[in-house]
Amino acid sequence: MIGLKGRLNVIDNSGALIAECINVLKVKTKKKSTGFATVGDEIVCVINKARPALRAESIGPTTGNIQKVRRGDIRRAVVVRTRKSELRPDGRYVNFDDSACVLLNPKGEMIGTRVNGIVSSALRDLPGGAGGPGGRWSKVLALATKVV
Amino acid sequence: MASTPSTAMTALRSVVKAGETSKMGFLRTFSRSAPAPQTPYPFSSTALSKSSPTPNPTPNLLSPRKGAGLINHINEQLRETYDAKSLTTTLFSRRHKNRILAGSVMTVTSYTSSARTTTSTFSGVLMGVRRRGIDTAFRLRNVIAKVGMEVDFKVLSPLIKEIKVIKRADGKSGLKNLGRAKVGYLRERPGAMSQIASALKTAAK
Repeated sequence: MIGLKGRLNVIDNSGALIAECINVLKVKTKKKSTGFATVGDEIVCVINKARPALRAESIGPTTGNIQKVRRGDIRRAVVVRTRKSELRPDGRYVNFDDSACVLLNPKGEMIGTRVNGIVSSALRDLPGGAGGPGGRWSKVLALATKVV
Repeated sequence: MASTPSTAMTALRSVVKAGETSKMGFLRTFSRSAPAPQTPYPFSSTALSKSSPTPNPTPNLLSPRKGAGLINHINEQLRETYDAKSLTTTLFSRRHKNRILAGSVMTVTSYTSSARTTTSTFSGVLMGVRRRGIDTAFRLRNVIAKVGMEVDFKVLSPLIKEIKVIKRADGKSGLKNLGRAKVGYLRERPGAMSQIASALKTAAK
């Protein structure tokens, strides 16, 4: 249940560490937007904390993790884990120890190339097939360490 | 009071004889009509023996004593349908000798869809049992990829295939008896959690 001012861990390799939600985008399947995002919902967030950007003159081979975002950047993200328990179709309630997101560009594609950590499998069961094979979040699910 | 106690009693007894046992159950002891003995007392022919135990009369659900009759009756009916393995009366009961205690390590295998084709397993430490009759649920906690995860399972869900207790927290089979029903404090103690979780690894081997 991420709303305004809600903080999330960023679990991709875009360089951001903590994002703060500033807006919850409308979900087509819901009649009325609640103002809160759960797993699978898109949010607009501002990067509160990011990995220190490497200087151009730094010695050493590039690791491939080029800094894509900086502190204060405004980006879109999809929520992948929540501390608030979510109801699964089989009747279980699942919640995680933290809330996490994966950053997206304005088109809705992932900015980072890797997802570090587990991702809620509620991402898979989204209505409209967003989570299924070929859906919007299929890349996130494929890259995640584990989908639980 | 106009009527003497004896006349009042006789009046009440006749009502009891008429068969209104449920409403005035406490007066059954005063009934004159003793049922015919079905098993003869072997040591004396004159002694009246207790008849075979009468089946429980249908409880008067509209005006039960203390108001508990209806819910208990409903839970009993629901248990017959959904609790074939008697989980709520043994493993998840309050006082059964084999009940699981908070802090135990368990594994739940559940079907992922109502078609019951594929299953998924979740193991974890029992954080507590929420006892509500048919709605009884329990919470398991596990740490996966450094992220803690808690899952609430409904005990009598038809989508649960198997609930297995790997290690009990009774102080005898390795895990300490934590002495309480809900162990939420373990969330702040990763050391204690990893100790308990190592029981999972040894069981897996």
